[in-house]
Amino acid sequence: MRWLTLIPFLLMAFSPSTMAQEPLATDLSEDAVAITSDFNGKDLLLFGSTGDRRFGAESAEPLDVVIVVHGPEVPMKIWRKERVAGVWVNSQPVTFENVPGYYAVATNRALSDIAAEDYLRRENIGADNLVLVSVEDVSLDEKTELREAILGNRGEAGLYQLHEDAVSFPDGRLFRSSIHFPSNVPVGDYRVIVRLFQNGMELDRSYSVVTVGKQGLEQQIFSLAQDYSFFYGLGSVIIAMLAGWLASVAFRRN
Amino acid sequence: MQIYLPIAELSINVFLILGLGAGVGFLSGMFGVGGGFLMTPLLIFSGVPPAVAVGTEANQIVASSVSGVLAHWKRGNVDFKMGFMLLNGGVLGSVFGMFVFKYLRTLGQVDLLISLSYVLFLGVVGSLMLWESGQALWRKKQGVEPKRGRRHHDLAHRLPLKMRFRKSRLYISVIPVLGIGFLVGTLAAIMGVGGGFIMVPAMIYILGMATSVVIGTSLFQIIFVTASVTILHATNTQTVDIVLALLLLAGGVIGAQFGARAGLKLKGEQLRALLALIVLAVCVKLGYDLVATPDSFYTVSALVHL
Repeated sequence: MRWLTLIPFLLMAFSPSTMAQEPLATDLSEDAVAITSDFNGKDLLLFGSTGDRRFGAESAEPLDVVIVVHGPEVPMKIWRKERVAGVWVNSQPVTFENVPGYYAVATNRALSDIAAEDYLRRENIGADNLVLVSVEDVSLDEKTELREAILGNRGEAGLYQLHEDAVSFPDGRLFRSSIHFPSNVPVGDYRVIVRLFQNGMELDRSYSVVTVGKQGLEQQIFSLAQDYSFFYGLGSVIIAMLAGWLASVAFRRN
Repeated sequence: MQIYLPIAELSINVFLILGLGAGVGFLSGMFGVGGGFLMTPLLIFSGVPPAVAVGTEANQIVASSVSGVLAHWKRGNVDFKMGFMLLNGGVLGSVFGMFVFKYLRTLGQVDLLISLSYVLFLGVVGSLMLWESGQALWRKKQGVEPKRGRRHHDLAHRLPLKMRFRKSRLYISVIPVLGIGFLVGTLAAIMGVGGGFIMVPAMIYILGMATSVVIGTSLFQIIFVTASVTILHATNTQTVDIVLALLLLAGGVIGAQFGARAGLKLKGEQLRALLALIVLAVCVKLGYDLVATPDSFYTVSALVHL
């Protein structure tokens, strides 16, 4: 049924271009990611129409699309490892208040070619331009170093992504891209911001939200463990005792 | 086939977990040990967060101890009075261990605590077992009669608060009994083990219990100490993953049956020497990870679950 989402864009593509400036329009193949027991990461498709503006039209400068997916912000602690008596141990931690649990950028070409560095920084586009606030007072050098370490760590976990060739234009006005959510993706609301650029200027933008959440049994077990932790613990013990008893009965017969 | 673990919050291969359960179950059936001291490090090596490995493994040991104790109970090899006294110390110890665990978790040092505890206890127990079984094997080869083991349980007789334990054929002070229970309970909360590898030698060499009731009594008290640890971890750190525990259990039950059969083919000293080598291998691996230069010089952790 995914192809159904294409219909509005197909209609737009064939509508007469004499209409007034049509805005940027985008849609996602699904607006929720369900973490179920067989969850192993998920890709969502993002479709968009540039409106009246055409990609690759002879008369105009080329259009660029920048998609930013910004996951829920959480406080994060970082420790530098130090060697104490030969053993690597965590030193004093530094806490950053507002680290996105997930941050992905997808564009049609290199971000630095699309817009000026100043603009990207002002609009916090790209992981390097995220503003991270530390709770403790640390020197600028240390903050830069720890910031880099956090970005590196999240990148390795597949939670920070930069895909500079991931938006394609199958037609002059339509574009599409996919957003990858790895299996370790944190739950919460994700903001999706699509920006349309031309000649280094932002022309238009659209917002949408994707909700990532546990569902079914996964959700029930998780909320039981969080909200009724004593009964969850007691239940786990009773299940284990029954399982142990069953096992001994089953194998005694053999 | 991947399965998403709701508490560990990661997607893992079902067959890897069943295989781990079966492998450790095989060894525990073969050697008559709980296997927690192998399973918790193996889970950590497979990418399960250390705190989840500890809380979940405690839950699994509840099950394996229940199925283990029933056979001993039927043969009358459980000293319930001794078990209850050990248990008193054990539950107190688990509360204390949980407190230490939680405190160090807020400091970001809990992974270090777990690793250091393992290196220390596996190193000591593994070396002692290897030494003892090596000597026994050597004596057998030389045809020397083993010396009658001296009993080092004078302490248990000299201290006050004496109590009679009929099944164990003992009239000893409850202080060392409570102390051993406390130590094992603490280790259970920190390391996710049943603590049989400490409890059994302590019962024989420190308390001087009749060997016929040692295993059954140890298993009996492990059930309740690990049950206490499971509930403490569930309420304090929310790190008990019932899905992971059940998968490990399923593999473990089957593995243990084959292990028990394989164990009958080997002699006692050979079994102990082999187990000692496995214990030392895990110890060396954990010790190496502590001192080797890490891939990343930073530890990053989201604070969602604290």
